[in-house]
Amino acid sequence: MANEKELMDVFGKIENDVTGVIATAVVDLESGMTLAAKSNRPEFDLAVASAYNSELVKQKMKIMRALNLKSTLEDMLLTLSDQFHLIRFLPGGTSFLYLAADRSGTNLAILRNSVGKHVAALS
Amino acid sequence: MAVLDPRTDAVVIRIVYDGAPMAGKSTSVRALGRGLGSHMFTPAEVCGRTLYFDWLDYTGGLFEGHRIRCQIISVPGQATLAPRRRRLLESADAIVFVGDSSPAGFDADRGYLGGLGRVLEQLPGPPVGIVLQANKRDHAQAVPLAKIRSMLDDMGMRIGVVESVATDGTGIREAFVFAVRLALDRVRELMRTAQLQTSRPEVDSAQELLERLKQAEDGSMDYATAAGLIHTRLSDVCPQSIVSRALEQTVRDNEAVLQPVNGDGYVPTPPDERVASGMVWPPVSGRTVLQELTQAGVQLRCSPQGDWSGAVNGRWRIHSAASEVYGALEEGRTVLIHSAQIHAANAREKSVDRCVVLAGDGRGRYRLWQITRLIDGAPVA
Repeated sequence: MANEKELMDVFGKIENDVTGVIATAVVDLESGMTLAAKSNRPEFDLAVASAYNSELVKQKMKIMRALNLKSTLEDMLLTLSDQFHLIRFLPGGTSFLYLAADRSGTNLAILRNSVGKHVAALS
Repeated sequence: MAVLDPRTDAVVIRIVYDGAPMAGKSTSVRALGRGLGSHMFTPAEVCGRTLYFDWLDYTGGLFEGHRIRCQIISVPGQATLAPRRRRLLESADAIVFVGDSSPAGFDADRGYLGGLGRVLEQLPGPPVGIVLQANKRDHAQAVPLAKIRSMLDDMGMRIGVVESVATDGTGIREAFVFAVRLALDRVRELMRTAQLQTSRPEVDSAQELLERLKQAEDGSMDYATAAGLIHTRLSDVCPQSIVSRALEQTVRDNEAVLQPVNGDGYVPTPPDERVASGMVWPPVSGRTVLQELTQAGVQLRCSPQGDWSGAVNGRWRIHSAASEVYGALEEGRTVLIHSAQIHAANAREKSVDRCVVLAGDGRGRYRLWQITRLIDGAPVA
């Protein structure tokens, strides 16, 4: 598992690729606690967002079990009217990266590509 | 003790930072506070030494739909303040033991860990998990991790280890989140046994804790020494004997003669720290075993009967019988609970240092694993 500094470096690299990043965190799936967090908007409560998104991921995994799906969950993309939210598992599967970005500043392809590239480098 | 606070609908847990003097407890809590955006409160300090405690309050994460409020406290490490240390340790739901990796500090760690173990043994309720935050890993002569693990083995302590450098914040958040997970395992066990109280926390602020400690001080030095909380400097861990090495080699050789029988090269996924709460027994110490398995990695072999097994660092043996595979989660969980009940009932006779885990096998099924401790390389009965 990468340490907090390495994770913060990854956040920086993603911000270099993607304009309009609002906040990024790496979240422990079991507890919903952040292992690293960076917010560019003080009003965006990243601790709360991380906690509830961990619940979202757990629910999705429950659904997959209920459907007896054998595949693994790679990422989750959520499109709001003005924001993109992206969730991507880190290697090991005990934690995930959560990122919120301004929809007017980027697109899903760039976002997904950048996050995928930098998260893969953590393994 | 953890409670469910009806005012905020939050689960309130207490994480206590313990360790020898100058190990880096306050530095760790301060670094954690910086990362979490919370301010550390220290009631009294002399020349950088904590006299009462450091206090950090943080709400984050989610447990069973409840927010998690963490009361993060560090104890005073000095031997003369042991009564305060003991009272704070007794209130913990999980401990982060800040170990000093420098050769001089390592000796002190052993004495302090021993005292901590004796205090925790006497506590009622589910066990309190410990994370060893091996601090000062940037020290030029830092004690190797293998030696730290060897010390823990000698002491019979089952503890997760996280490396850190508190002065620059490395490893601090990781150790904290691991401790939170251990505390939540304890909370889950409290819920299961209907012991989780719904009430305001016994202590709700740093000021209240300070008053409580001051009230309880009279004659309390005796209270501390009764539990053996003294600053003890012991010699280094004895090197392993020739006999124990030979036994370890025997176990490794036994594992090596077993070959995979599956033609497709399939190997089941061994359990790791991703296993969810409720799928590992014992709930707290079992998770620390899984953390060690994850860090070390497991190489599994299959017997001609289709049983899978492996050894981890010569310290643990992991085994799953061919018959212990379940198509449905609930079916496996029922067997897990039954197995846990048997081992809990026979703990004195046969179940020392054992962990039972239900985990996905990589093919959409669930496999029950038994993990047992190897003493001198041989399985414990």
